[in-house]
Amino acid sequence: MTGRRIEAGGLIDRAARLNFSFDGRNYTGHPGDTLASALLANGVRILGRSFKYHRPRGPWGAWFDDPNAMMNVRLGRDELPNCPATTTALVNGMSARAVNAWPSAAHDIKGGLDLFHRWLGAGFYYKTFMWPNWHLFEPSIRKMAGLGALEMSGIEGHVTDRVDDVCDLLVVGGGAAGLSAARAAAEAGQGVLLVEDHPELGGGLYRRGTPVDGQPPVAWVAEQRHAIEAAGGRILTGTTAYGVYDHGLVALSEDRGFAKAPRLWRMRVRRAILAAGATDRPLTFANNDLPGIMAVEAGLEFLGRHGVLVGQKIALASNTSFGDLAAERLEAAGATVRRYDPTARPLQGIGRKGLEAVRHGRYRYDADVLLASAGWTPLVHLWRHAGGKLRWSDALSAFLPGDPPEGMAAVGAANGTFDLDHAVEEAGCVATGTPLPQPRTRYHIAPHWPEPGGEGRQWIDFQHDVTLKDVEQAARENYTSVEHLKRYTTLGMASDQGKTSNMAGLAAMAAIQGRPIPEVGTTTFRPPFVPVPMELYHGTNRGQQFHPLKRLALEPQHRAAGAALGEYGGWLRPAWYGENPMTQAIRDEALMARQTVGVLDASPLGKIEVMGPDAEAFVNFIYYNTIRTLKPGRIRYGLMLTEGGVVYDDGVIARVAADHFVISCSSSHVDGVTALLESWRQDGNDPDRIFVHDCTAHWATITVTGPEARRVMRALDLPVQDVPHMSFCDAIFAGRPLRIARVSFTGDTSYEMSVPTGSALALWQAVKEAAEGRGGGPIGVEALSVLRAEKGYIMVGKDTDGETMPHDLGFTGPREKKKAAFVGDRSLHTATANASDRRQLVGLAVEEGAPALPTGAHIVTGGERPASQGYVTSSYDSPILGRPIAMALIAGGHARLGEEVTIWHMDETRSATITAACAFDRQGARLDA
Amino acid sequence: MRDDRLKWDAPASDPKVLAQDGLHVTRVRPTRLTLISGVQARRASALPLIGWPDQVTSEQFALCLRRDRILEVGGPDRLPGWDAEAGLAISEMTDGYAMFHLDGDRTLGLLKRGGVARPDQPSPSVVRLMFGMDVLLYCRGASGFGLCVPGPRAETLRSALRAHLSQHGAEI
Repeated sequence: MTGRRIEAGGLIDRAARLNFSFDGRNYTGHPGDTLASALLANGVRILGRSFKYHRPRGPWGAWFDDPNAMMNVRLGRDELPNCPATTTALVNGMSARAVNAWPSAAHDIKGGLDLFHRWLGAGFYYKTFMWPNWHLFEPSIRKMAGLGALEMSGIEGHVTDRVDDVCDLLVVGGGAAGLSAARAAAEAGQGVLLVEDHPELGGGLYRRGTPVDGQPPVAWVAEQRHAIEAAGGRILTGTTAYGVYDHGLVALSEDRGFAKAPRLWRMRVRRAILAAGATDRPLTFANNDLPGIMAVEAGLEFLGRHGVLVGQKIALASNTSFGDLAAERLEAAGATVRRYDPTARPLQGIGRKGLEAVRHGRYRYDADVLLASAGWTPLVHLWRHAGGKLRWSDALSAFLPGDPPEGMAAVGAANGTFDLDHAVEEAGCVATGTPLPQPRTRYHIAPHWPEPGGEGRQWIDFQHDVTLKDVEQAARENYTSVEHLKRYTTLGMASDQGKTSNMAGLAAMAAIQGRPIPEVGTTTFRPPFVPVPMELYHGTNRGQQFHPLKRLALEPQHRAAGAALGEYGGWLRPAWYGENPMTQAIRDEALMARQTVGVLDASPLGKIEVMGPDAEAFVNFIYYNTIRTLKPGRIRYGLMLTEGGVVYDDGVIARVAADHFVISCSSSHVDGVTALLESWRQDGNDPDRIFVHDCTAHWATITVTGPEARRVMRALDLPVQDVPHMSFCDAIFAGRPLRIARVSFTGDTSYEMSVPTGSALALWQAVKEAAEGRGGGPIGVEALSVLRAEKGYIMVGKDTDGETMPHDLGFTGPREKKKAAFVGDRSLHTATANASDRRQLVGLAVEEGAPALPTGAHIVTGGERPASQGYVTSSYDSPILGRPIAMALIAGGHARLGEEVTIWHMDETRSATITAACAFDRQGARLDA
Repeated sequence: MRDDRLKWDAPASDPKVLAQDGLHVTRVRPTRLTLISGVQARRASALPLIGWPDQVTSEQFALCLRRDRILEVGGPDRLPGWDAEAGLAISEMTDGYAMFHLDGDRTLGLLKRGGVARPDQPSPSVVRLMFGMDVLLYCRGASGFGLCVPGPRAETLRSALRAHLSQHGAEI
């Protein structure tokens, strides 16, 4: 037993008692305790095990700067993994278990791994498990690795509440500097939000108990809170600013209690003041990971906030001038404190499962706790997230905020202003924009960094068991960049994210290379600053809200008709209808459409209007095909290309008037095409003479296709005689406008009828009834896919890929003849675009009686090492042809018609013959039948 | 291909979307919506022009979408197409948007679950990104709001509002 609760002091409620257990043993604590403080108060020293060697570990820090005490915690039926004991508030009835330890942290059976540490150095698994196959070892390594395990049952109601908000000034940190800045800004009329990650305001004020403005910390903090709120400022405690993103977005995680998902605040801020403080960085010496060795500030925090004296015979090794104040505070609480100068002689921790003594040079002294500090490290993480620069301070031996990011300033310890009174003064000045006083400090440091070649095992990263020797080995193997060092040794990974280990690691690398520390640099600071649950990013975006689909106006009718519904291009659409098995239903629908008539809900097809005096030139510029010559009332098929000449979309363009076009693009591309049109409208065109309206949502489109289509239209008394192929006419249906377009995606006579969605039901019922009277009926998207593939009609993104150009699909005319500029023109004339081995769209025919080819199967060369020449893009059984059909992109395909090719798929080889893409009605006789 | 019909709730037809502890969400159907673009679009309508957080006080108004675009709500019947004389592009969108009225003291709290909604931050435009989609958001009275989404997104909005209220209704 070393730690104990002192009689008075701290922010805990001694009148109330909380029962909890750790690794199966029962303990008590008080409201205001963390799991770690309560365990220390009960004399428990070993709170966890390290990741690799399973070394016993006590807490190094008292808050988010502790990498050691990770626990699985259960409360009632709820269990959470990987709870840092130093930040988990104690709740009555909690049951905690150390992660990565069995049966307990004190007696971990895998602790024996430490005996093999000589063979388990940095990167050992990269070298050791190569032969015969990494996958042979992977399962057992994965089983041994990792921290806590998830409870598979989950936690009921564990859903993050997400709130979007804005503020003029965000102050991060509720310590002396943060409170001063927030008060000054609020009283100056700014809209202030102050966030503090502890449940109480005050930050590090309770550690030393130093009066502020002549008041004890508790009273001073209460006064600041009152003043901030009275001036209209807002305060969020238990809330961590864990990331800064683009456009002033700061992510805040608000703790709402154990097993309750934290609340995510997406805060847009005009300005931010970073008052996040600073942490102690570890001293690097032999056995510096023993339980009982912790940060000076942690010892003071446990004392000042939780009323826990962490040891009786305390050794204090600090190279800063603040060490004296710490010693005084601890002695006043009843400990015997002996100070050591780590820069004078080498230090060594002595003990097996905990610190028993300290060796300082040749001298050994008994001690149950060693409080260590190699200096303060300002918490500049958010500063770096925002893009701020760092500068090295020789005087403070630390990286400090340098050139600021837009709208951010740092004050207090986060800015290297470690003296309390100076920090308060600086914060007020920054908040109100008044001139800053000359920088001055009473803080002095005698730099002390890891010394390569030192004796014993000296830990750099406590969580991952990265030692000074590992850093030396990484340097020997040429992993000298700090980014490479991090990845090779795992230094600074996982929950620590370098908070305790980075400075020692890069200082060690600097010393090994004989370079100054700032020249070695730091690793990249990335959000989140502290571990946050994945749930924080999840919230209500689950189930149907995870990837919500657009819904058809006629969905109730499709459901009533027994439609199977599926996602097609972001829409929930009928795939097929009826109770028959899928394959049979699709076949029946495709055959029905070929023999009589099919009715399709084609509402997702784009209806994008382009209007204005420059509309003609604009659409002509956008499309590969010539649109300029299109007459009003007519429709033309067109391909839309990227600037790289790659097919982006295909569709039809209807010319309503000289200055009015309707672009009917693919269903899945409506948003993309609209954005692309807007983009080109504003780039190289006069945006005041072209206007783009996406009216897709206003119109429902119902397609009638098949030999009986014309009769269906006549039955509805619609003017089909006025509509030749690739033209349209306007009519009235049930008092609303109706646009009838003669276009076909099946090769049969087809009419696309568009009405305002409010009239869709009436039109659908009328068309369906008329079609059913002629042996037809509704068809789903799957049958449509078969019908269009029989004709060799492409689906962009399925029958094309990121390299397909129009001439690969057989559309060569505009490339050769179109005189006006169009998007993608130049790219169609490069050497790559003219290569003879481009993958071109063709059809594939299989031997009689053979099954359909698998979509995605490769067309391969012969020989021992077959190479891919392309792949099958679409493949179906054609009910009307009574045989399989397929389309494929094949190298030089257009010149290889009739060639027999080898198809490979999943270790199976087949043969097929290259044909034209169109397999049905090649003369197009049915189009106008 | 698989049949996902059971994965998605059938669209609700009841115009009363939600009613919980004084918070009411109702789908309303305007008589006419007309999308108008043009250099002079903001001057093209005789209806009150609504930005954020201007108050809508009648059934007829024009929402400001951007510097050259408005959406007339309950406005006059206009001929769709390009009006060369006025320099206006006109499209009927009556069936294109789903319009919801949100009423009650906690409405603003609910809206904040979807995106930034601060009446003290004025903007000429009512276009917002909320609940993951483009919406038109405007003020109606002291604690009422109007929310327009493209028709195919109506069910997404209903579902999002329901999810937030059922999970966090007590804290909104």
